[in-house]
Order: sequence, then C-alpha cells, then structure tokens
Amino acid sequence: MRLAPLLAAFALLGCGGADPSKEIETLQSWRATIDLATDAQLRGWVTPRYARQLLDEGRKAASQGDQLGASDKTRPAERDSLSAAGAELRAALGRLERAGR
Amino acid sequence: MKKIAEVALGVITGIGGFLEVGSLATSAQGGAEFGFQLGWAVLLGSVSLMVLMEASGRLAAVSNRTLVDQLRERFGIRFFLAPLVVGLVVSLLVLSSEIGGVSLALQMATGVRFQLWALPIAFLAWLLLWRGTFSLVENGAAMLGLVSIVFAVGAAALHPRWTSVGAGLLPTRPAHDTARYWYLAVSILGASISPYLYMFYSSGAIEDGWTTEDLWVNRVTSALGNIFGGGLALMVLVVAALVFLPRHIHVDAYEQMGIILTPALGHQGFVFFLATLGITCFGTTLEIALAIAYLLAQGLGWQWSENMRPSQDSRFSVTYTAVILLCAIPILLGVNVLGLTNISMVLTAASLPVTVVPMVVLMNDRDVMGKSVNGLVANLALIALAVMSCAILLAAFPLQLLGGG
Repeated sequence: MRLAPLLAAFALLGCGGADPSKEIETLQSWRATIDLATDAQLRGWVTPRYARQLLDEGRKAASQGDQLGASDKTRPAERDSLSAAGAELRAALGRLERAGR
Repeated sequence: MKKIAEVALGVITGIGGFLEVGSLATSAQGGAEFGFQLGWAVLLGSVSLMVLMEASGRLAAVSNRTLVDQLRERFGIRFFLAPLVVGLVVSLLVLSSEIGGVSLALQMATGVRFQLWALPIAFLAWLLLWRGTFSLVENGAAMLGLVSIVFAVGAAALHPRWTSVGAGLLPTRPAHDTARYWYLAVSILGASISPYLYMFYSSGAIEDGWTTEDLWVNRVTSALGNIFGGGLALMVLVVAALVFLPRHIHVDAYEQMGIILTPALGHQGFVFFLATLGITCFGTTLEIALAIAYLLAQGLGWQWSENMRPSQDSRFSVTYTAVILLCAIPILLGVNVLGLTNISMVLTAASLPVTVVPMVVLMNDRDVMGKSVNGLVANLALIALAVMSCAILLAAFPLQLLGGG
C-alpha cells in the first residue's frame, strides 16, 4: 500500500528540527500555565494530583529547553534567551510545588 | 407530538454530541493563539456539517439506502475503494484520539497515567456497543454530553465583548504567523466536518427507519443541532481567547486545558472541564467505532444494525470490537494525544473531497432522489463545499509543514 509511507511522511512533516524562538515561546507559555495553576491551587480550585501532573509536564518542557540550549547549533544570543526563559519556568515550578505543600 | 419529541431529541443529540477531542483542542488552540479571529472557521465548519448532514439524511430517508451504499452502487466498487480506505484510515486515527481524550480526562482526575486507562475504556465502549442499542449509543452519550454547555456558562461569566466575538465570525488576515493561522483554520474545519459524522448520521436515519415523512425532522435536526453545537465550539474558542491569550499560554498539551475554566467558574470549572472532555470523547468513541463498522459492513455488503443481536450481524460486531482494540494500542503505548489529534484533524479535512464531490452527483440524481433532488441553494452550498474541500486537500500538506509545529 502506498498509503502507509504517505501517512508516515505526513506525520514527520510536523516533527521538524526544534526552532529556538518557538522553544522560548513554549517555555514562556508553560511558565504562564504554571502561574495560573499556582493561583488555582492556592484557591483550592484544582486538585493537588492535577497540579503534580502539571509540574511533571512543566519539568519536561524545561528540560527540552535545556537540551536545545546545550546544542552546538543554537546561537549564543538564543542560548541566553532560552536560559532566561528556562530559569523563569523553574522559578514558577518552584512556586507551584510550594503551593501544594 | 411524537415527531416533535423526535426533533427535540435530535437537536439535543446534535448539541451534546458536537464537542469532542478534536473540536475542544483545535478551538482552544485557535482562541489561545488568535483570540476571536478564528471564529469564522468554527462557523464555517458548523454550517458545512449542517449542509452535509441534511443531504446525507435526506438521501437515506428518500432512497432507504445509506450514503455508503449509494457511493458503492452509483460509482462502482473501484471508485468506492477511495472513500472506503480514506474514511477508514482517518476514522481510525480520530478514534484513537478520542480514546486518548477519555484517558487523559481520567488521568487528570485520578493521577493514574493515561496509558493505563486505554484498555478499560476500550472494554467499556465495546461492552456498551455489544449490549446496547442504536438509540442508547446515539442519545445516551449525547444527553450526558450536554455537560459541555459549561463552556457557554464559562464564556458568559468571563463577560466577553460580544461585538468582538461577532467580528471574528468574518475572516480577517492574521497579524502574525499566517501559516499557523491557516493550519489551525484547517484543523478546526477538520474537527467540525469529519466524514464519519455524516456517514454515521445517514446510517442512523436507516436505523431509525426514516422515510420521506421525516424530511422536515432531518432538516430541523441537522440545522438546529449544528448551530447550537457549533455555538459551543465557539464558546471554547471564546474562553481560550479570554483566559489563555492574555497570558500567552499556547495549548501544547491537554493537561494545560484543565485550568481553562477555573478563572470563570473556580473548582466547578475544573470538574466540569474534566467531565466534558471525558464524556464527550467517550460518546464519540462509541459513535466512531460504530461508524467504522457501518462503513465496512455497508461497503462490503454485510448484514448490519446496532439494533440486532451480535450473533445476527457477527462481522459487523467483530469489526467494532477489533477497531476499538486496535485504536486503544497507540494510547497504551503512550503516543502524544494532542499531536495525534492535530494530525487526525488535518487529515480529516484533507479527506473530504472523496465523499463531498460524489455527493454533488448523488444529490442531483433523479433516479436516486426522485422529487427530493437538490434545489438551487442546496446545490450552491454543496458545490461550494466541494470546491473548499479540494482547496483544503491541496493546502493541508504545506500547512502541516509550515504551521503544524
């Protein structure tokens, strides 16, 4: 069947190499998500087990940013921005973790 | 009186069954990244689905044959292989996404990883199909799906500027990221106009024994169900635009959506979001599994009906059993559900020409439709849809490349 390779190619189209500017946007988006979740957690709007899942997902996003920052292909200016966005996300993750205690 | 009750039930089914994993994800992504600006895509998707459902319901009521039967009989088996294979592949991907949606709702509620929910959900869905009737599947799931009205409540609580929401119903150029804008527009259309929906609807017309006397029921049900159902998808976009856009939150994972309603409705917003995701995706799981079994059974000339005992239409029953199990496997293996959903929606949109273009021919065939052939307005709408579906097919691959990341 010709369909299977076509579908595989189609799926791969969405998996191109990571773009630092997109990655910075993703880190900032996760930081904002975690901030909103922290607020919701402090007000008792979401469950601690849901907050823990967001913590896990946020940590995954942060480590993906670290990997891209460590790549030789990333330019120094982009590396700094990635590092700053990653640090902000980690600070937000720390606040969410403390809110759950 | 019985007909009025039938219409009311049909409309409720349309509303409760409209939202599912694809429309939730794509509307939320659209609202989070472009505010109200993609409202037109939701509106266009709802109107398109209304046109296709009305046509496929009319076809079934007049000819006493489903859309799939007619595609095979009118165009021959060689042509029919295209809608059969394309419909099958796309529906399997969407079914997997729906099982993923229910699994993620349960993960967010219980903390148990979503992979572990895939098989229990598949079993429960299979059991309901095995033991249940068509009306249980169609109406039961949709009644529970009315929980999705919470998005309308949430949108109202956030006090949007309705004039701005209305302005989004007209297409405008995006201020940034044009490729992403059109990619999301195509995804939203794919989520709204899935071929399984109107194939399922046409099979349902035969299951319910529709005749020409039911044509007005068909017209009212398809119009009101999709207008109100599409309205709910629009409310998802509005809520995402008001909650996520100002905070620069992009929807990169379903887990982020758990807090979409909390600024408006607090803890209830969280609970009702999980209920909406779980119930609507489960209802759609039942419908797609049946739609795939209908497609194969009608296409290959097997005995079929959800109202028969499984022993009376064994190949039909074995088909939905096998596809549910098959589609649970990617979720069991931990596939990225949002990525799968997005790819499924774009492929769904790209698959439209193989069913929409032949419908233009069928709906104008007097041997099939008798006096109920398309009028001028219905023809214009269907031809416009056929042209749009071909344009989407051409655009889908480049948009996946440019805007799907």
